[in-house]
Amino acid sequence: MSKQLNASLTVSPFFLFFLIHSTQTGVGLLNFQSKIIKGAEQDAWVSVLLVGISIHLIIWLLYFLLKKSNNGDIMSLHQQLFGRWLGNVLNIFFYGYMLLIVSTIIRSYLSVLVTWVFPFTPIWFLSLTMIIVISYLVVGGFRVITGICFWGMIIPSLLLFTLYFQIKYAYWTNLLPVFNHSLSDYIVSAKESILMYSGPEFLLIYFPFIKNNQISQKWAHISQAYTTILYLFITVISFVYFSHGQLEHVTWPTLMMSKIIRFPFIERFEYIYIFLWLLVILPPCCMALWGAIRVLKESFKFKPRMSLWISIIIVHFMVTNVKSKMDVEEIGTFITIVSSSFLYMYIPILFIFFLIIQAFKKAKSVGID
Amino acid sequence: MKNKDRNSDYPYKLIEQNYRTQNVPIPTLQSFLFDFYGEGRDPSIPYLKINQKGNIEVEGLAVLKKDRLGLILDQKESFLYKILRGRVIRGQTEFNIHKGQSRDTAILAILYGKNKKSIRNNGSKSKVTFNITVNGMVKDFPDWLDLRKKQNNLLLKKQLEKQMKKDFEKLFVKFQKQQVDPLGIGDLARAYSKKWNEKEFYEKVYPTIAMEINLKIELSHAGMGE
Repeated sequence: MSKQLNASLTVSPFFLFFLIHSTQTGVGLLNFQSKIIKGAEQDAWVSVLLVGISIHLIIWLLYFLLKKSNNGDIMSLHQQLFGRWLGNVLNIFFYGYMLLIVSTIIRSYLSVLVTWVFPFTPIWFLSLTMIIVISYLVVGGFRVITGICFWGMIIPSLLLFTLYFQIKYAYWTNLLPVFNHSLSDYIVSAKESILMYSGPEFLLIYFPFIKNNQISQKWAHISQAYTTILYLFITVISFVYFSHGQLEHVTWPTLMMSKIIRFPFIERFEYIYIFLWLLVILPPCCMALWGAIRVLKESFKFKPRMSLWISIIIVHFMVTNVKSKMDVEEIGTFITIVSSSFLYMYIPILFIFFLIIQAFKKAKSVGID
Repeated sequence: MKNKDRNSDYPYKLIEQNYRTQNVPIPTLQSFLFDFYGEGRDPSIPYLKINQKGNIEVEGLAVLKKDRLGLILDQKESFLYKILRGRVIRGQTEFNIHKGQSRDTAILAILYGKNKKSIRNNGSKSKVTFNITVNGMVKDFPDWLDLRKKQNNLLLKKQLEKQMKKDFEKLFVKFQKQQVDPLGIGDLARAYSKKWNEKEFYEKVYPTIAMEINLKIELSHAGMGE
């Protein structure tokens, strides 16, 4: 059982903090406020908090599964549980999920770019540019991606200081009255906030790349806790800055918030926001594309270079085929369903299935004795 | 300078100037949209007019009811509104003073202040309370009022507080009569009640809601002038 790769390929467990946090923050952070407000209105921050806490449980499940798998990743786990053939079919699904993540993130970010900055530039050109950047990083390997995750957290964190401007205009009574919604309202909001928490599932692929990965779990939990606090903070700020009705009308509340910022030397601060956001979306894109290649390599022994070409062609095709803004919304809804059912249904099912098989094996070995 | 000689920046600068020192409340797009889409509040925007000389001037404030013009406030009313709204408390206005036989007008400039609103929800007996403290100075006061004397200062303060209180109440009644809510009283009621319905509130509660003002004026630079 070699769950950890050659030391020259691994990163220290401390970097899990950046790896998990950076892959969670993405394009969903730009517009989640107007989605979560639909259910529990001013109480939706409770849903954000609860989903954040529930992800801790998912991380625990992931670690449980990874520690028990042969190679420390989902590819070997699938083969171990379902046999070689069925396992590989599931691996292909996982590969598709990875590509779906990349395409959705790129397309959502491009729709921001097209609306705010480059209205006359064709999508295929922007998509190609993004894909070249991402592929370049992915070719560098896992350690380069870790580096991008690191900077993709540190640099955009500077934007947090600019929230001071929004607090100046805050109406704190917007958060009142507290807790006047029913459970079903909270669930509606919770469903919408799952997508922005998705990201720990990449652990299923890069787990063998973490040094001392058996004892690295605490960093994953610390990272998740930080993400929860950050999201809660942004949610509260947006709720006090916008009125309820206004949030329903704004497409990208986080970007709209940045419009109030005005310096004598930068009239339009939102451009800085949009371009710094590239650093926020690069980590999940790189990680998912790298993950996709890794899935093909581990399950079918494909050459990385060839699977990179195949993957980016599929991604480019998917990105350019999503044409209107309605389609972007639709693909967003689709990936919300896919990733929430992956995290909250597939992982627990896998866990239960694993326990059953283990129980069977135990019974068998007892029988032989 | 005639209007045609000015560039398109002029109205923008005019409004900003009036926001900083005069009687226009916060004029950002964000604050407008906040009020426009928000429940329990009506938006207001600066009301510009071309005067006889052909110049653009800020006439007052237009209060919208949904997306229609509901009410136009004059300079003094928008001054009062700016204070009632809170946050940015600034502006200046004229007021009357009298002592014995002599009467005259002076100018009050508000520099900064505080405004805390609270509400008691009780059906038709609801009440809003404004606790306002403002710091300001009096300019261009008449010669017969020597502000270096303490008792004159006190007299001025009392008269001011009385007048402003009355004006505030008048303005509030005007809002109620016109069925506009630029102060966000509805939003305040929503925040402090478990269940709140916008339509019901404005039909039943808003016209009858009582208002209480605790006003404190502190004249800091009284007596100075050119």
